[in-house]
Amino acid sequence: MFNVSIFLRNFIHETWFSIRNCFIILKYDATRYLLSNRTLVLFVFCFVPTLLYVSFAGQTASLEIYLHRNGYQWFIGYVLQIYVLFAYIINILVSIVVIQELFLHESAIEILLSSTKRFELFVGKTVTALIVLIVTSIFTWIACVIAFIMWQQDLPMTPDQFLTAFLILIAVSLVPLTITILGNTIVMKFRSLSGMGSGFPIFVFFVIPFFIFSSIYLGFATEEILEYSSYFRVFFITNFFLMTKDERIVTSADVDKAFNFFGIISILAIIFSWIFFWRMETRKKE
Amino acid sequence: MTGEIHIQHVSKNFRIWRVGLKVSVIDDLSLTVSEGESVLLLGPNGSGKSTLLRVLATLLMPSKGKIFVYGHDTRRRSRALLNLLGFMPEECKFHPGISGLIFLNYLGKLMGMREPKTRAIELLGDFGLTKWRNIDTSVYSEGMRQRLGLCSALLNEPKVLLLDEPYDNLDQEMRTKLKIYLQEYLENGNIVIAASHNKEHFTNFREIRFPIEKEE
Repeated sequence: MFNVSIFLRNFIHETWFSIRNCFIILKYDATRYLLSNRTLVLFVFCFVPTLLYVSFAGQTASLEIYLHRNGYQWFIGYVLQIYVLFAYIINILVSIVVIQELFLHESAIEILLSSTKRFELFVGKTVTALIVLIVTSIFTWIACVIAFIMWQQDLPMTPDQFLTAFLILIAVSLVPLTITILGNTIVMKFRSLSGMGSGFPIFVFFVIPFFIFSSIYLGFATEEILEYSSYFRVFFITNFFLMTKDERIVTSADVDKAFNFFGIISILAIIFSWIFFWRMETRKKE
Repeated sequence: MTGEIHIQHVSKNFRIWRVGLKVSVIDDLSLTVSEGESVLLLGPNGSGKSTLLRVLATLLMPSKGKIFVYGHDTRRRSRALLNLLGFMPEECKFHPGISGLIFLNYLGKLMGMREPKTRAIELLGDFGLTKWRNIDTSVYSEGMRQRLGLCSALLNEPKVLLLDEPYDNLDQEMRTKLKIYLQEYLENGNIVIAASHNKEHFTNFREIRFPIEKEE
C-alpha cells in the first residue's frame, strides 16, 4: 500500500540531499576555479572595460562640453550605460572561458557521473559559473570605481545608481551564461564539433551583431534588424534605467520586450542544456 | 529479482555524427551475475567490453533492453543504484591543482559518506599513495592515477565494482596487492566485473568473450 508519510520523508530527504550536494559542488568548483592561475587572467579581463572607457572618453573631448551642457546626472547615466555595455562584452568572454573549463573540459566527468546524480552536477556547475561571473563583475566594478576616483573625484554618484547598474549587468549577463552552457552541452551530447563550445556563443554574440551593425552602417539593412542583436537590447535596458527621464529614448514597453527576449532565451537555453546534459553519454574517444 | 545483476537483451549502438555512421557495439546480450561472483569481459580492443561496463556504470544508456542491479533499473540512475556501483575508467583523469586526498574527500561527501576523509586516507595507504596524498594529481604518473582511480571506485565500499583494464600501468607489487584486495572483496559477497584484453591476472573469474557471437 502507498504510504504517504514514507513518501514524504523520502522526498524531503532526497531534496535536502540534492541541495546539499549542489552546495558541495559549488564550494569545491568555485574554490578550485577562483584559487587557480586562470582567475588572474580573468581579473586582467576585468580592467578592460575601464581601459576601454578611459581611452574612449579621453578621445572625445566633446564629452566635457556635453557635461557642462547636460549636467552631472546625464553624465553619470551616460558613463554607467557605456560601462555596462563594455562589462557585458567582457562577461561574454568570461562565460566562454569559465564554462568550457567547468563543463566541456571537466577531466573527472566519468568518475563524477558514476557517483553523483546528473541534476546535482548540472545545477552545481551552472551556479558555480554564475558565482565566478558575479565575482569577476564585482572586480570589474572595483576597477571602474578606481578609475572614477583617479579621474573624476567629485563625481556625485550614489550607491543606488551603482547597484542598479551592477544588477542590470548581472541580469543581462545571464544570456551569454546560458547560451554558452547550451553550446557546451551540445558538444558533450553529440561528441562532435568540439569548437562549438566556444564557437556557438562567439557566433551568437560577436558574428551575428557584427553583420547586423555593419549592414546597418553600410546602409543595406533596416533598423528592425537591430532587434536580433543582444547589445541593442542591453542598450534599451540601460538607457531606461540609468538615464534621466529627459534623456530616455525608450519606453517601458520596449524594456519589457527586451527583458522578455532575454528571459525567454535564458530559460529555453537552460532547459535545452539540461536535456543535453541529462542525455549525454561519455565514451572513449573514437 | 533482487540480489544480483540482470542484463536483459541489451544492445548498444553508437551514432557517429561526423561521418553519419551507426555502429552496433553490443547486440542482444543477456547475462546474470550472482552475489560474490567475478566476471571478466575478455576481448580485443573495440569489441564492446568497455561499452558494457559503461552501460552498467550508467554512463551510457542501452539502445535496447534493460539492466537491473540489485533490483534497480540502470536507466533511472537512482541514488541507491549509484551508491551500489564503483567504477574505474580505463583512463583515470582528475582535476589539476587538486590533491588526491581532497578529490576523494569531495567525492565521498557527494556520495553522502559520514567520514570520507578517514576512508580516503585508509584507501590511499592501501594503494601506496600515502606520501602523495597531499600532492597535486597533475604530477602523478599514469600508474598513480590508476591507483587513485581504484581508490575512487572503492571509496563508498560498493557492492558492485566495475574495473576497466585494472592491471594496466601497475607495477608487479601493486598488481599482487590488487589481486589480494579483490579476492578479499569478493569473499564479502560483492561483485567484480572487469574488462581486459588479457586474462593473465584474473584467476577464478568467469570469462565472457567479446565480441559475443549470437547463437542461431
